[in-house]
Amino acid sequence: MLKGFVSLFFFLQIIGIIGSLVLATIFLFQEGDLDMPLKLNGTTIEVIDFPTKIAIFFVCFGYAAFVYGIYLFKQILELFSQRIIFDDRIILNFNKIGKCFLATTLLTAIPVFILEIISENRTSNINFTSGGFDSILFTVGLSLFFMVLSEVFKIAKTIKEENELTV
Amino acid sequence: MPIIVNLDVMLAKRKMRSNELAEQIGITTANLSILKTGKAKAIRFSTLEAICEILDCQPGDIMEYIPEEKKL
Repeated sequence: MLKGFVSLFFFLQIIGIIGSLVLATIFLFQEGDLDMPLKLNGTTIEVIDFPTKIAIFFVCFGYAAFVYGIYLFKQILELFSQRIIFDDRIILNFNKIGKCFLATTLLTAIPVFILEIISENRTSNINFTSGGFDSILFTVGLSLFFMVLSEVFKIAKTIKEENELTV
Repeated sequence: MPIIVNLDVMLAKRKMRSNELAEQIGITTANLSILKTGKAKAIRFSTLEAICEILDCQPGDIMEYIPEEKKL
């Protein structure tokens, strides 16, 4: 059930990233005012200049890191379904997922934040939110959770091996 | 690991085969092999007791502590 849901989500993300790359390429070769306003992580962009292009570039990388994280999670679920639990691949993938989600947060949040600061007409306010699924704190927390999970699995693997080698 | 298992020496002294010992202790030959080759991470007191009883020896006769050489 979960595996099927993650597979579907991954498939939708693949479509999303292809669409984003096509749009990003169009925006990278565009200069000046946009016909339709673009929203980059909640920030409305109306003029395409060099900093905006860099921000789009970083956000695309962040999105790619997120999709890679989902792909790794899908791999973990496949290993779980084969009853492979305390394995080096699982430990490595959990750690990689944490790093990917952290990279996604940093690659999307920092360029957009800088863009907001340097833009002449600041349209959005700085939001400090303590919770919610869209906050930076939540995604950073999620990344750290995956990294901790990787460490927990590493410890569990050692204990399991020691238990198996107890005569 | 600085703990060396000399079970094979004791088995040779008692002229007993590994599978015989495994059978008498009630463990698999694979587990006894793990113990003999020094791959074991731990040994249960019950297993140690059984080995000592069957081989008529002390735990020190089948185990030895040799400190590891300090790396420079």
